[in-house]
Amino acid sequence: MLVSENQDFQNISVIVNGQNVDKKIRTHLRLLDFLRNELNLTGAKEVCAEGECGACTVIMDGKIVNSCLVLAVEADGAEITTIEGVSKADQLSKLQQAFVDYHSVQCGYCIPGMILAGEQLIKDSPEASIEEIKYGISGNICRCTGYTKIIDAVASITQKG
Amino acid sequence: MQYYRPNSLEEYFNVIDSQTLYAGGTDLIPRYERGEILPQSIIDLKRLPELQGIQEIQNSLEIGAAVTIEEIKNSELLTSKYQALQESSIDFGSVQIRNRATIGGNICNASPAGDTLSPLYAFDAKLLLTNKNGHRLINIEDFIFGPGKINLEEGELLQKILIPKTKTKSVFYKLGLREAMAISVINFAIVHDKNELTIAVGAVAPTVLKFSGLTGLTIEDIISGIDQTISPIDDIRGTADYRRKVLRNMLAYELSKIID
Ligand SMILES: Cc1cc2nc3c(=O)[nH]c(=O)nc-3n(C[C@H](O)[C@H](O)[C@H](O)COP(=O)(O)OP(=O)(O)OC[C@H]3O[C@@H](n4cnc5c(N)ncnc54)[C@H](O)[C@@H]3O)c2cc1C
Repeated sequence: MLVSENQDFQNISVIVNGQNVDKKIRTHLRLLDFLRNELNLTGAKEVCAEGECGACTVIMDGKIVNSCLVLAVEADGAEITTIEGVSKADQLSKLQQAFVDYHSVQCGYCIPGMILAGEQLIKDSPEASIEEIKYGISGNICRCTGYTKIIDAVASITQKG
Repeated sequence: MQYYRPNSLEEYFNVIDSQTLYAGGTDLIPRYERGEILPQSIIDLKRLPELQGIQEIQNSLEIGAAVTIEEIKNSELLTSKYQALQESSIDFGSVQIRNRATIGGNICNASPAGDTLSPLYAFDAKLLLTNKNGHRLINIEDFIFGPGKINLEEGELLQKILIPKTKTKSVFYKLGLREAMAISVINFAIVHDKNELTIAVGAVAPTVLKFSGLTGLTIEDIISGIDQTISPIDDIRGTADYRRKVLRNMLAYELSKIID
């Protein structure tokens, strides 16, 4: 939460997981607070609140961002994907299924951010090498797995040949 | 807090009046997260078309202040002739940070450890500062006075960075405490063409230090000259002694590669 002396409001119009959302919000709300508290999308997690850990990662206009470092008003006119928008009608995405198959999840706290970073990486570099995967997820910290199984899951999609 | 997002410089000049300028927010928001009270109003510069783009014009390369570090990393224009600047973007934060952080924010934040600064100093970058009445063009070393201290007047913004188009070979080196997401313990850039050798070093003094006119000196002389000028500090990332040692060794290594 950011602290502001005065409460100013602004209307924003955002597409979240394919749905139009119009809302009047406080201008000092972070995108993370907006998603969690106003839209009840609690998949994005708050951990470090300073851009180091990636647990609050969402996709904004085709780019991954830390939603703790973005003001919700900045998202006016943008398209946002959160972890809640990744599976389609109870059908896991390929990457989500790979995380299950490769046992990539332990405590699970980093996983929403990790999946979104992985989804965008696969989109941007469909044949990403192991090195490119490591580089691409370096903004997402996991304290349980040691990353190996997470990297394996992403690589199972980008390195299938 | 009032939030403005002008779509042109003209619109911008109609709203400014002691607001805080805001670009990627990657330096500003963490400060507010730590409890600093938000300003009365902020102006988001990211949509200003006048602050976008990387292009070569007659005598220089122009980079808009709102260009993100990710754009610097991916720009083919930088790959051949401005390597050191591009290299400084590679180990910069994470994808998430690079997608938001701007080069203008890195300059105006004026941290001695800012990664794009040593390459910009070594390339003799000039900054185009703009206000209602026009522009001024100054050298980057005349813009940054110390940590967080810049020569920006009320009503002014940093519009563009201009790099003269002459230098050919360059390299950037950064030491962080781990591979990803690390602030520089030290960093430096070396720019070398046939007639000139320039070195700029970051995180060893209150501002980046630039050393030029080094042609004809031995590597040993260059390094001991630099060692006598820097004033590194002990901090959480390393001792002053450690910084001196790494700088000497890495300069020796990179200089011997770049001067053939
Ligand atoms: C997790 C994390 C990792 C990081 N890693 C690195 C790293 O590896 N290397 C590194 O160098 N930095 C790093 N940073 C610091 C930060 O990302 C950079 O300094 C970045 O370039 C700041 O740009 P911004 O657009 O986000 O600036 P903002 O936070 O928007 O602004 C920074 C300052 O510049 C001013 N400003 C911005 N644009 C202009 C303009 N056009 N004209 C006038 N004033 C302006 C603002 O008023 C403010 O004072 C990191 C930060 C975080 C949170």
